[in-house]
Amino acid sequence: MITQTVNVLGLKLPKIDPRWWLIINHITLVSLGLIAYDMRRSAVQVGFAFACGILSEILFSAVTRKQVFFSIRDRLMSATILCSATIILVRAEDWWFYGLMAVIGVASKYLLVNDKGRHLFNPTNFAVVFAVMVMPLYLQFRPDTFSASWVPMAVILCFAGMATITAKSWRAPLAYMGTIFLVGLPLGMMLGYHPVRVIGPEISVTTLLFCLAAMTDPQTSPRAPKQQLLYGSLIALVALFLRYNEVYYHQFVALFVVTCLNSVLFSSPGLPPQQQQQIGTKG
Amino acid sequence: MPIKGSKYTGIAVGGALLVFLAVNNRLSEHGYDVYPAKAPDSISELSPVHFTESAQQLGLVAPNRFYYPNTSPKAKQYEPLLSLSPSVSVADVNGDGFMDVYVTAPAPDIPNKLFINHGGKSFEEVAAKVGLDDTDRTYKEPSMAYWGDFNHDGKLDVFMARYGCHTLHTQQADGTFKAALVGYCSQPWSINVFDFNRDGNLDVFFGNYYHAEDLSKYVALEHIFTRAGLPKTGSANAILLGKGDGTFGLLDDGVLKDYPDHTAAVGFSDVNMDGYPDIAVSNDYNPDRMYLNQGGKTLKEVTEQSIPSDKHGFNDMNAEFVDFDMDGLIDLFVTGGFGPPISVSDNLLWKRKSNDSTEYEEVARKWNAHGCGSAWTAKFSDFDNNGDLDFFIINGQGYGANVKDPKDAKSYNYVRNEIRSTPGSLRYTLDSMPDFSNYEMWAFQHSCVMWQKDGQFYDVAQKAGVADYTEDGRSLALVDLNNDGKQDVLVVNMNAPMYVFINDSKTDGNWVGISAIWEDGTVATGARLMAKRTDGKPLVREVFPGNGHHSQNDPRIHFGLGKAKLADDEIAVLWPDGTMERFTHQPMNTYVTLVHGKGVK
Repeated sequence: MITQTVNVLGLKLPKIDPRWWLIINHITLVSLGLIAYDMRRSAVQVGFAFACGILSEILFSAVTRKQVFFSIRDRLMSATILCSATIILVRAEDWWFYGLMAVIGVASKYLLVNDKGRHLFNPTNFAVVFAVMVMPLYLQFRPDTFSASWVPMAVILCFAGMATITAKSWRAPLAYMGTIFLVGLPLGMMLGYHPVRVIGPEISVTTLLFCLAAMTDPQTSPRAPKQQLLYGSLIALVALFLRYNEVYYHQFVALFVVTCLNSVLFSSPGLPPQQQQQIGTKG
Repeated sequence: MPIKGSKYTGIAVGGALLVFLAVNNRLSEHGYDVYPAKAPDSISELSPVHFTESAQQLGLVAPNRFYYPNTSPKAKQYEPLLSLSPSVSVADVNGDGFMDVYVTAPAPDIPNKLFINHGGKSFEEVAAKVGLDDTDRTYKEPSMAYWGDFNHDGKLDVFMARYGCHTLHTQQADGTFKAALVGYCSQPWSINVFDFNRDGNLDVFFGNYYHAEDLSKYVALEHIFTRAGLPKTGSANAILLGKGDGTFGLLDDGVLKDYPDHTAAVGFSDVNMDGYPDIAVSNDYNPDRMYLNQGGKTLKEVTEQSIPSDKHGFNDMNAEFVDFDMDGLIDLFVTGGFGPPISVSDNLLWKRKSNDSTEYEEVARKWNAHGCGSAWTAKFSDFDNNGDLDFFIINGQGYGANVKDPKDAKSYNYVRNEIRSTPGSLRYTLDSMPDFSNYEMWAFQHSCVMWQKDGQFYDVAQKAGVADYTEDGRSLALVDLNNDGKQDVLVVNMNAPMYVFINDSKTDGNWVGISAIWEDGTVATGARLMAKRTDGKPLVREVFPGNGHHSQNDPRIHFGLGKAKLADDEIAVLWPDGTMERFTHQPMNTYVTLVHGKGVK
C-alpha cells in the first residue's frame, strides 16, 4: 500500500519505487517503437535479451552473494530495466546481441564493485559502452526513427522524469543540461558550430534517456545535492569533449569515464546501506 | 563469498578499456584498421586471384571528374557527395568476338568514350567518329548506357538514360549512331533492360532517383541529412515498353507509382519461374523492393514476404542475382554502406530458401560477406576458375576540397547521425551544417576481392594487387577483354580515370563461356542457362548483363569449373520465349555460342 507522496510542481503524487517509473517508461518506449516507429528489433532479440537478463541476475546473485537481501522481484525489475534500456538505446542485427548485452550489464553489476561492495557502473551504461568500444562492428549506428520524435520524448520526460524526482536525483541531469547550454553552446560557437547543431542532439530520445535513466542511477551516482550538481556538470564537460572528438554515444562514454573516477571524486556514491536494504525488503 | 573491490577498481576498469582500445588501434580516428572482411594470411596465401591494372598499357583511358549540374557555392561544397556517376557498358559492338567498352561521363567537358577492342591487346577510341561522344547535352547529362538491339535490325543500339530526357542511339548501316528521344524524361541513377512482357522486344526499367525535373536548380541534400522515408525527395520507378522499332510506350502501372524511392540499382531474375522476369530494386534511404511480374502486364510488390525490410540498410545499392553457393537457387546480393568504427549498414546476401517459395534468408554475416567499406557495385564471378564464385566489390569515398588525407579528416557521418537524432522542428538546414570542405564521408576501404573458401568469403585484395587502387569508385563491369577465360574488371571512378584490372591469376581450372543468342545474333536477354558439373554441383545463371549497379557486363555467361567438367558435356537453355533446348557435346575452356533453335554456332 502506498502511503508516501512526492511533490511535483505543487501536485502531491503517490511515491512509488522509482524503478517502476523506469519500467513503465522503458516498456512504453519499446512498445511505441515497435508498433509506431519502425523500431527494428525482432521478437527473438527481445525474448533472448530478457531471458539472458533474468537468468544472469539469478545466477550472478547466487554465485557472488551480493545484495543477498534483495528479493527475486527486485532482480526481475533490475533485469527488465537493463534489457529494455539496451534494446531502446542500441541497434544491432544479430539475434544474440541484446542477450549478450544483458549478461555483460548484469555481470558488471555483480563483479565490478568498489571497496564497499557496491557496483561501480550503471549496468545499462556499462553494456552500451562495452558495445560501442569493444564490439562496434556489430552495432548499426543509425538512430531509430523515433530518436528525433516528440512523443517518445514526452514519454521519457513524464515517466523517467518521475523516476528522477522520486529518487531525488534530478540535480545531476539539471546540471548536465545547464552545462551544455552555458558552456557547450558558447564553446561550440567558438569552434564554429551552429547553435542548432550544439543543442539539437542534446534533446534527443537518447540523451533524455541517458539523463533521466542512466546518469541518475542512485546506486552509482553521488547523493549529496552539491555533489550531484558537480557530477552532472563533470559528465557534461567530458561529453562535450568526446562529442567534439566524434566519439559515438559520447554521453554514455562520459558517464563511464566519470564513474571510473567516482570513488576518488565523490565522498559516497550510491545509496546508503540501510536504504539499499529498504529496497530489498520492499520486495 | 561476496566479491569486494577496492577504491580504485573503477580506475582499473577504465585503464583496462583504454589499453584495449590502444592495442586494437581504436583510439585513432574512424578505426580504419577495423576490417572484418580481411583474410588471414593463411587464407590469402591460398588464393591465386591476381589482377594487374592496365588502363594505360591497353589504351583504355577514360577520365572522369566530379560534376553536379547545380553550380551554386553550397552545391559546390558538397560536390564530392552529389556528383553524378560515370557508367561503363560492355558489348561486342563490331561483332569481332572481342568485347568493346563504352564509358559515360556526366561532366560536359568530358566526352563519352567508345573503345574498340583489337584482339584484347589494344583499344581504339572511336566515340566521336561514330557519334557517341555525347558532347551535345541538350537532353542533359548521361546517367547510364545500355547496349541492345532495340529495333530488330541486327545491330547494337545504345539506350542512353539521362538526368533529363532519355535517348536511343540507333546504329546505322555505316556504323555511326543516330540519336532520338524516346518520349520519357526522369532522373534515373540506374537502368536495366529486359523483356518484361515476353513480346520479343527489349524494355527498359528506370531506377529513378531524384524527384526534381531539373538538377541545375536542385541541391539534393535533404535526403542526406534527414531520416529515411521522405518520399518527396525520391521518384517513382517506371518501365518503358519497347515496340520493337526503336520506339517505346510507358507501362501504366500503379504499383511502381506507389513508391517514390531513391533507386540505386535494378536486378532481374525469374524468381517464381513463371517465365516472366521479376525485379529487385535497391534503394538509397528507402527500403529495397521486390516485385513479381504478373504475366507481363503489371507488378506485385512482395518485399516483406521475400526480402523482409527489417534487414534493409539505409544506403543499399547493388542488385546482383547469382547462385553464390551453387545450390541451384539464384540468390540476391545487395551492397550497403559499411563504415567502421561503427557499422552503418551491412551488405545483404539474400539466400533463396527453396525453389517452391519466393522467400530469401539474409546470410551475409554467416558467409562473411557483410562488410567492405562504403560499397557500391558488387559482381560475382569465379575469378580463379576453381569452381567457387567470388565477388569484386567497389567502394567509394567522399571528402571535402580542403581535406588532404580523408583518414585524418573529421567524419560527416558522425554529423549526419547527430542530425538524425535532432527533434523535427529543430532540424538542421543547410546553413546550420558545418562546411563539408573540411570533412570526409563514408569511411573509406579499398575495393575488396572476396574470394570464396569453404563457405566463407575472404578479402584477398592485397594479394590480388587491388588494394593500392583507392580512388572513389562507383560501378564495375565484368568482362573477359582478351578471351582467356578469366574475367577482368572495369571500375569507373568519380574523380579519376577508369581502372582496368586484367585478370592474370595463375590457375589451371576448367571453365566454359557461353553466348546465348537469338537467330539474328542479338543477345537473348533473360535466357536461363543450366548445367551440371561432373562433381554434381548445379550451374545456373541468367543473361541479365545490366544486373548489379549502373553498368552492363559482358553478356557471355562464364562458368568456372575447377577440376570438374560439364556433366554429359551438356548445357540447357530456357529461352525467354519459354522454349527449352539442350546443347550436348560442349567443349570446355573456350567460348561457345548457342543459337536459339539452331544449335551451336
